[in-house]
Amino acid sequence: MAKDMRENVLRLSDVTMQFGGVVAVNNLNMEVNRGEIVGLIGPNGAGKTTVFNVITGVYAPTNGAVALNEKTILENYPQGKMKTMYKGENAGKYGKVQLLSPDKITKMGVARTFQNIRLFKELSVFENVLIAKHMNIKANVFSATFMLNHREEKQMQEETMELLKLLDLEKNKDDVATSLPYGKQRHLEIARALATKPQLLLLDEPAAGMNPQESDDLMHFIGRIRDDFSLSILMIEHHMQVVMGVCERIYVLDYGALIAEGTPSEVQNNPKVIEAYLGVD
Amino acid sequence: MMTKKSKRICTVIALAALAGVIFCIGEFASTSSMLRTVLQLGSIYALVAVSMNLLNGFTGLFSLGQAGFMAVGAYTFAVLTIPVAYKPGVYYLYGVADALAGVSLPTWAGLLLAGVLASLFAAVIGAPVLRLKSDYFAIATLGFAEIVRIVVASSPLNRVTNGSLGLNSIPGYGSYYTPFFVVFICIAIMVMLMRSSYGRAFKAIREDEIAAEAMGINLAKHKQMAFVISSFFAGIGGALMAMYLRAITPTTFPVLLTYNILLIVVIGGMGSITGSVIAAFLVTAAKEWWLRFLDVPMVIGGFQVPLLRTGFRMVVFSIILMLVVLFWRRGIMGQNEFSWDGLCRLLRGERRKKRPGSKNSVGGGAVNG
Repeated sequence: MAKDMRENVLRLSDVTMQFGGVVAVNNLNMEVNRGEIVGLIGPNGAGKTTVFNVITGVYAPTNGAVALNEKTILENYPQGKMKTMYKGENAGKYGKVQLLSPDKITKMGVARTFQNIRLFKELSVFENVLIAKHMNIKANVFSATFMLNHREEKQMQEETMELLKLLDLEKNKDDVATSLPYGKQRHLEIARALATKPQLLLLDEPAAGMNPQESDDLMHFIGRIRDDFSLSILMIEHHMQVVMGVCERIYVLDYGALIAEGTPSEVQNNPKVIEAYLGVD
Repeated sequence: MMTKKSKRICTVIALAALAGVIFCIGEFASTSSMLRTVLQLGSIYALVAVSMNLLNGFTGLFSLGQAGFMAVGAYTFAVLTIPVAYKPGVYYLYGVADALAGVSLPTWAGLLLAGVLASLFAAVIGAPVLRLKSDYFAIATLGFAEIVRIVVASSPLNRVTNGSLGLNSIPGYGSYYTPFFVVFICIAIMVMLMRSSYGRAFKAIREDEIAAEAMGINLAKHKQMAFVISSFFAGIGGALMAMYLRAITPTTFPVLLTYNILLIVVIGGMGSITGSVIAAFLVTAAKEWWLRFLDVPMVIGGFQVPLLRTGFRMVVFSIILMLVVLFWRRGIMGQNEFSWDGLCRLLRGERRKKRPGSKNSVGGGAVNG
């Protein structure tokens, strides 16, 4: 298939995330190629959001490495007696530990949304998106206070306005974020993530709580932003209709371990997946 | 709705009117007038309250260290500006440190250094303390404020701070207008800061730390920045307080002072600069002036009103506070700033829609003057 020819954007190698005795993610290997929309599914508590939190630097993985554009951005390997417990293919190779905070990873081009919408609630739609432009500010706090960065500020505002126009949020620009209807709040969260100019977008259950009509719109919306912003997208989703409609490849997690991988139709018919979702008699 | 230009004209007129009122009071009110005192003291409280709001209301860091930073500012100012001729008199018991014996800086330099030293303290303690969250951060900063007070009073520093005797002969205001001028400039700078991109980043941290970090905002850096800037202005506020009182001791800056400032911030509205300023004057006036009559016995038509005696005004003041907090839960201004549109709406009796939970706010959402 042509997918092997594509550039690799994100690669997780032997990622394990342990919280005390709980193994939330177990030796996970996965990748996202440029321009792909990849789905990450699994029953509740399978460790999907934990994968996002590892990629974005919220948690330091217990073992494993994360590479962005073939360049390792995060790596960690077990120390001391834990070392013998991991048997990842590369377990012996990791020589150094490299961990980054979430803001650094966002600057590298990974943006995300959250499962339970996390907007800046009391701020306007415009401000919500404008804040995402702050990370690349060149002016220091003094010149920004005394408005010496007038041109930069104007550019930030113009870019924000453009983005709002593109995503049909222009009419709501002065509304307080929480006053928007639910579907629009999801849109706004995606808009805010896009304002950081990512190459990889992580969507955590974007269709949660949406009716069939809304999730249908969302499907098209996700396809559209992928093309318009030349993104690669990794998304967690429970709505099978959305996942099957928009994802090119799907990874299935259960109890932190990868149980299946492939195209939507392959995954749908995989007995292990059916077992994980429906149980066995 | 007004145009941008007419709003600007209104703002200029309003500021000019305010300056005119202060000028009239400064020129024509008798020197012993309560109004003069309340305005000066109120303006100092306004500055310190806004600086605290920058941290508590805008960045979402619940700090209780304001009195500590004020003390640092006040002592820095006092030590550096007491005229050389008065120094032997001030330090009559312990003598003055040799390095300081010949130092007497002009007021502006003293004010600036007061701010700088307070922000240096903030930078040093910020690194460890800012790792703490909410209540723990509050306790740590509260502890810092107490440490400052005790260190200032401790004997190794006797030749600098004069121990528990405190410092006097601190130069006062050059004119009646000095504090207003300094406070106006400081608050204007903070308003501009909050309107800048950094101000927005602070608000983002207040709204949702996790989301802010996911948007590429470096939490440690921005929290440190807010902490240092807030302390800088608290230091200047402390110096202004020292100039107002002309004499300071370690007990001038007790924890109670922090609570008073917090009170102003909460009554004005967490996250509203205008609210803090209005509340600073209201609280100062109520405490020092309007409720004074409750402290003296009163006889109406041969009937002595019961309960009135020294200290009773604080009881009434506390009850008023409770009522304000009960019925105006988000303070006078909520999270809004004064705006002409907001004033128009208020005069027309309209309620601003779409701002959940802020039924009683005066101002509009826009931050335009």
